[in-house]
Order: sequence, then structure tokens, then C-alpha cells
Amino acid sequence: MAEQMSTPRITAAYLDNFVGRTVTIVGKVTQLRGDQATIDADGVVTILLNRDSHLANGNAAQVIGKVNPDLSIKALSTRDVGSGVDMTLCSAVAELTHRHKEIFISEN
Amino acid sequence: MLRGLTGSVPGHPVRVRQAIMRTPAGILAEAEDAERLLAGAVGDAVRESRDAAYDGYSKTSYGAQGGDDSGGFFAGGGSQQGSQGGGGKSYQDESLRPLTIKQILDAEEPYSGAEFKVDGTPITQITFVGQVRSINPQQTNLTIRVDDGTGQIDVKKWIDADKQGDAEPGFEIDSHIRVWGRLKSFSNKRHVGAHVIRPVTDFNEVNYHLLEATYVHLVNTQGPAGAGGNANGDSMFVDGGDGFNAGAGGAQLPSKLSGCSAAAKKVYSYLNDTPGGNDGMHLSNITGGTGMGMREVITAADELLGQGLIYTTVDDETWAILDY
Repeated sequence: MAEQMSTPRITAAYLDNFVGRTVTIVGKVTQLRGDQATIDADGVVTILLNRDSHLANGNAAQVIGKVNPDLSIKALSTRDVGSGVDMTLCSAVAELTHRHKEIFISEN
Repeated sequence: MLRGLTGSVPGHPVRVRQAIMRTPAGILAEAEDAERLLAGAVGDAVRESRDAAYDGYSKTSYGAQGGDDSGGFFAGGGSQQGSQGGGGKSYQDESLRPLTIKQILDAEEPYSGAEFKVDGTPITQITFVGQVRSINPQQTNLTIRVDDGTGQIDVKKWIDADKQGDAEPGFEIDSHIRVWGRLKSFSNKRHVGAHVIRPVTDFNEVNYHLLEATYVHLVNTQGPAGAGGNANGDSMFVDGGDGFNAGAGGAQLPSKLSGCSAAAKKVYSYLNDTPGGNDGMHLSNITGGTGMGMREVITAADELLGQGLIYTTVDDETWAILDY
């Protein structure tokens, strides 16, 4: 399939390995400042927001974006996913997807 | 027998009673008649209870009503009805598989039109969770592009013109949805014919689905949980599941080893069982002690290192168990 594109799920710990790639990261929003936000995804990650980002402080957010060389993430799509999200589960699942790449991550 | 019938065939007591007073031949004919009525009554009852069961299916979104939802007849839906009389496709082949979109895209299709296989098992009904990327309303169906981070696939939901509001998607772009349906292939392009689509309101369901998909994948590739003493297949949990092994006889290895190869388990238990101080155990001791080849031990140790179960001590070929 031509347009098969995967956006691997990561946590802060994986940022180093994904510079220049598009990833999915879920974290709790800890700071919102204009066009920048920080989220906690097993470590602090800076997100450069786009215009149609509507995040809420304290809620969990799912960000899909490109990892910059300085390990910030330029958001392509952001979504507020509410307050009742189990963050331990999120990072466990992110780790799981890297352990079982065969069903989660296509190399391209 | 016939006397009993008067009560059990409501609406026809007179007929049956008449039969009792007739000639033998007449009785026979009328008895057959009564029997047919009885069969009819029983048939109604069965049909009613089956219809009730189908109502239940549509509520639980099992998709048994797929026949009228996807606008076409398909073998699976038929066999569920057919199974009343026995026959058709084997019931155990009807499964509902949780999958990632990558698995759907990678599913094997031995030849065009053949049934799809994932992990060597045929798939019939599938379910997955993803984010809506685009919604494309058409005359007869909604085409929805869904992305779950592992890939993207088109989902087609047929619109029932008789149902009010069936053409309304009920969700917006970028929201998460769960889809139940069947994988179809049309001119070399795959799509999912959806029976049911519903919005996901709790984000934890997204993670839940990924866990479930992994669990089923592991059961199909590595055998069921708990089989063979310590291969408990629960390796998807980063660390947990220790209680799981308690009942499995002779399993003194921790369940975090469950995802490891046999060689890795052997090396781990050797390290575990051999008293050797805090400096760990050198490669040559392990090869000597286990009878494994040097390369084999190194591969196993790499695996254990990757899992964070052991660590290197004085040099790269000396390992100790990581306990915490």
C-alpha cells in the first residue's frame, strides 16, 4: 500500500530515537503558553502548537507531530482526550508497541 | 398425546377434540394435521426467541444483522441463521478479532477473493479503534478514513434509506471511533465494510484495544496464556502479572520472562540458581554451566539485557540479575 504511514506511539524517553519522524504522544498538559505547551508523558515534552489546537490544562492530550532536533514536537494534530486517562497505561502501551513492532510500526 | 394437545395448541382445541371422535383413518389424518399445527406453534416460539436473540445482537453490536446493514448477503451472516438447522460454515470459524490497522493492511490474502488470514488464522468479523481522518458521504454509503497510528484504512458504512438519520455519522473529524465489520477487497484496494460504528468516549478504550489486539496476536503466535508452565503470554505487561504464574506448576521463573526465548530463560535461571557474588557470571562460566554455545549465550543475554532483566557488571561479557 502506497500511503501506509504509521505514527509510532512514544513517550518522552523515546524522543531521541525519533528525530525527524512523525509520532503520536499522549501526555498530561502541564503548561499552556500561547503557541507552546508542555505535556508530561513519562517526562516533560514541549509541544509547538498549531492554530487549531484546543488543549486544556490538566487534561490529557494526544499530539501527533514531528520531532524537532531539539526534541520538541511540532504539532500536526492535537486532541484533548479528557481528564480520566490512565497515564501509566499510556506509557505501558507505548512501550508495548515498540516491543511488538510487527503489529504496530511499519518501517518506512 | 392428542388430549395433551388441546392445551398446547391455543386457538385449535376444537379441531383436535374432533379428531378424537373420528374414524381411525380420519384420526390419523387429523393427527397429522394437529402435529403440523403443533410444529407450527413450536416454530413460532423458536422464531420468536431467535428474533429476540437477534435484537440482543444488534444492541451489543455483534453485527449479526450485517446482512441488512451492509446491503448484501454474505456467507457468514447466512451461516448464523443456517446454524439453527446445522450446516454452513463451522461455528467456531466465526470470530471477532481485535486488530490494529497495520494488521489489517498486512493480512494475507492467498488469492484474490480468498478469506483473509492474520497470524495464520482466518478472520471474519473484526473490530478496531482509530481516529477519523475524513468523512465522505456518498449516495449509498459513508466512506470514512480511519487512522490508529499504525496505518490507515477506509471504512464503508452503508446507509439505510429507511432509517431516519442513518446518514448522519454521529462523530466528527479527529474523534476516536470503534468499528465492527468485515474486511473486504475491491479491485486490489482494501476497505472494511462496517456493521456498527460508535464514538469512543473514554480514551482508555484506545489503549485497551491496543492491549487486546496484542494479547490476541500473542495467543495466536506464541500459544495461550499459561501453556507450558511459564510461557504465559502475558508479556505485554511491562512488569506485572506475577500473580498469574502462581498456579502454574513448577514455575519458579518470574512472569517477566514469559516473553523471552527458551535460551534466554535458561541463561536467566542459571544466573538465578548459581551463587556467585555480586560481580555476576562470566560468559565462559555460563557456557560451561549450561552447555550452551558462546554465541547462543550472547544472543540470550542480549535479549535479557533488552528486557532489562540482567545487567553487565565488570565487562560486557559478565552479567548479573537485575533485582529491584
